[in-house]
Amino acid sequence: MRIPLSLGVLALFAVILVSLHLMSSATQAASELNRWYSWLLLVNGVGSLLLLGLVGANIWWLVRQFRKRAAGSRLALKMVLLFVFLALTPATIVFYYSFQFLHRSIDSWFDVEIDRAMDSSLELSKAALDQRMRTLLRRTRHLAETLSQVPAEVRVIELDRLRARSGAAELTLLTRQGGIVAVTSGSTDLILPSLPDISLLALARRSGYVGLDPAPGPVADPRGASALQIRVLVPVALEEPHFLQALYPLPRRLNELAQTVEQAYAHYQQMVYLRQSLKFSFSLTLGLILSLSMLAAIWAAFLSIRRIVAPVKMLVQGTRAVAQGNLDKRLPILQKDDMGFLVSSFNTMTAHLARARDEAERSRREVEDQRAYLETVLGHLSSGVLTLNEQTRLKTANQAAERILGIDFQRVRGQPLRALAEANPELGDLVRRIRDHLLERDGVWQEEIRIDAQDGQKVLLCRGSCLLGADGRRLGAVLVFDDITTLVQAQKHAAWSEMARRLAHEIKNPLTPIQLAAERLQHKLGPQVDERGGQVLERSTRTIVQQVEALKDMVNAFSEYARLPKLKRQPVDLGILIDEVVTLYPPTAGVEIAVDLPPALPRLEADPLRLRQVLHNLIKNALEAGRPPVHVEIGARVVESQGRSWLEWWVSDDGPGIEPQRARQIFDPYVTTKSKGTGLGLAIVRKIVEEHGGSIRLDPAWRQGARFIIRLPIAAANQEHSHA
Amino acid sequence: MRLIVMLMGLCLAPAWPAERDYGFRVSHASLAREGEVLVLNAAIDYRFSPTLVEALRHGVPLVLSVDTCLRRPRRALWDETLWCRTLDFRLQYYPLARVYRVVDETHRFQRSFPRLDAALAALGRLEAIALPPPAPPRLPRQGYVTVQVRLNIERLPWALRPRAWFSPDWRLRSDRYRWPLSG
Repeated sequence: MRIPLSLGVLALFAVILVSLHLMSSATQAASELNRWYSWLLLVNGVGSLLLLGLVGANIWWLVRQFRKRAAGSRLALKMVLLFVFLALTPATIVFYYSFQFLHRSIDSWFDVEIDRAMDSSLELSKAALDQRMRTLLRRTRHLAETLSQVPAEVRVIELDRLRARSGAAELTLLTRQGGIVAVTSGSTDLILPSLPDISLLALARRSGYVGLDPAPGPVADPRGASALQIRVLVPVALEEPHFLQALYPLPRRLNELAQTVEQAYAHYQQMVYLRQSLKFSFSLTLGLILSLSMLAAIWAAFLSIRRIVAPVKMLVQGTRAVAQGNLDKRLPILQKDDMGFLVSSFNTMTAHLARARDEAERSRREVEDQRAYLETVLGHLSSGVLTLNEQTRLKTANQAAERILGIDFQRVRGQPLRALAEANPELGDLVRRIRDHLLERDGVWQEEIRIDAQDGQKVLLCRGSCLLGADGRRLGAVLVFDDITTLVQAQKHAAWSEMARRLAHEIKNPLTPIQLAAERLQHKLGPQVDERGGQVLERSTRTIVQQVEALKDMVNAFSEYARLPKLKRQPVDLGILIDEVVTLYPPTAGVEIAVDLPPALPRLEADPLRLRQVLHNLIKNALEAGRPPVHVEIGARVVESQGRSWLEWWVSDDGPGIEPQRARQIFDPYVTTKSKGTGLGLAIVRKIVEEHGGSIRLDPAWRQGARFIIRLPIAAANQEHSHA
Repeated sequence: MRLIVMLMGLCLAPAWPAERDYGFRVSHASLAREGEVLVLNAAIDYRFSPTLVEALRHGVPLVLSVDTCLRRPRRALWDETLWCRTLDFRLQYYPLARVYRVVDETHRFQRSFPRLDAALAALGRLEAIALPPPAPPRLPRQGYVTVQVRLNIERLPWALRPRAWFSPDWRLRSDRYRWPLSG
């Protein structure tokens, strides 16, 4: 069972008070505790040392706590210092003045007049007793003379008679060495006579001795005064020298007065002698009382301060725990006072904070989930999504955006929008247009924007919108763009295919009747007209037939464009295919073809007939564009782009090239820069390439003629082969 | 200030002076059995320090205690005390009578002497002084007897005691006079 602290402190104070009271009582002269003074002093001294040790240990603890900057140590130190100062100052003042007062009080006990009075009273007593003693000395000498004249046989009888006559209490005849010769006493219970000390015999040898003497023998009261008697010792002239000792009692009243004077004088002398010792002992007692009280008070103060500081310490620790994020910290309520209320409020506050934290955590998780959901959705969107913050700095982009724009977003994240154009010059036009839209209006906008990417021109359908906060504040903008290049091209292909089909259908049908009609005219009218007319007729009908044939060829080409057969894919070695095609163009054909292919090109999964057509069309295009001899170069390489491998091959010529402003339409049907041709060659090439999942573009940097770059995807198996 | 100086003096004072002409010494002692009691015969040399003489002349009563003990040696720790008796003699000066009174407090018997040396000589002659009963029933074979005399500080006036405990002038004590028991 644990004893409450307050009870322990009270018990300690009670013990100290009792001990101090006992020691104070022991300083009283008449106290029975007087004999225990040393032990009480020792007990209180040991108690002081114990308390000093306790206080020292507390101080050491406090200093260590303060050095460690423990919670509540500063408050405890301040309170202890304040308490010690408040307690020690008045106690020191009281001690100093008590010390002074004590010394002055003791000094006041002693005075010259009192000294003189005491000496005088003693001298007076001595004088009074001396006169009586001289009388008794003379009387005893007379008794000795009387006794010396008495024969030895009757000396004992005479001695008893002389004692009765002289009034002595006891008469003893002694030898020279102090041996008893005869003794007579008025008391019947005398066992042993009161013999003089040897030294007295030496004193009495010449003229006798007389002195006051406490009655020898048994002591009735060990602490009380003994009755006084007058001892007279005179020589007796007998056959041999003897001594006669007479003991005379003092009258009762005189005895009492003499004892009173003697006791008072002795007590005063004793006090005079003890003057410094009394000062020292009283001061020691006073100092001990002060030190005990102070040490006990300081120790009690430490206990109280610890108790007061304990909740503060807990609060500081709790606050630190809360600051470190531990909101589940709860403090025990030790006291039902203001500190207890404070601790309770702290617990309530942390509980509220914990609830708020849990709610915030839930909200954060929900936001995280939503964000992850959004990221997943955005990541799997085919549309590119780009967000900007309120300062139009690039904030986020999804994978589709990176793929469509061909950028590494991590390199431009957080940078202004213009950084996108600086890192990717081909996006300059797109960035300008977006910035214009952002500056112009805060609403939703949509525009089709074309960009010249490395793998050809792209058509992006961009939609933009401002992001507004709940308070209407502009938080940034979101851009969504789709790569509609394929769609646009597909639409174009569809349109051109439809037109080609219609052309083939609408034009091809009347051509045969026109040709037949022209031949019939020639046949029917030829014989009827004259020679000149016949020549005109023949030239006209031939022209009609030739043009119809040309129209037929054109219609067939359109028809071919419109109805390209389905691909028949198979592994194709591009190097072999190029060699086979090139051998069909001997030097006499007006073209010189240089082939530069790296060894071990990966195989393609393609339709070889269609690829041959691509190569034929490109070489034919070069032949039709330039003047013989036309120099054609064919090369190839493997490139990595958009996370996969491509076989990039190119066909370049040294012809007049293509004007930049027409470069965009060069792959459209019926667009040609040559005087000959249907304008479908490059359109068919692009169609075949795109049906293979590839792309074709005109190299804008090639200035020595025209250079077509074709990219075809490499099959996965072939990729591994090529990497190996 | 004087208190502090006095305290420092007490602490710094040597426990025993290097050379001194005062002190107590038991020069001879013997123990005899007379009937049911043990009687002590001893010759003790009392030489008082001037401080003691001055205190005595100022009426301070001094109590001299003679401790007689039977002890048995032990291998470990101190010897075992089997029996112990103390004789207290009070010495006091009477200024009116100008005598020194010696009181045997054990046997309640007093005597007076005109001079201190006479009183001390009388105190030093202990002849057949009966020790307070009961006497030990049988004296041990392996034991020994010690006699030691000391100034009983605890019987001094209370104010003198703190000073006396720390002063060699007051802390007077003879060596133990010892002799083996003959059986």
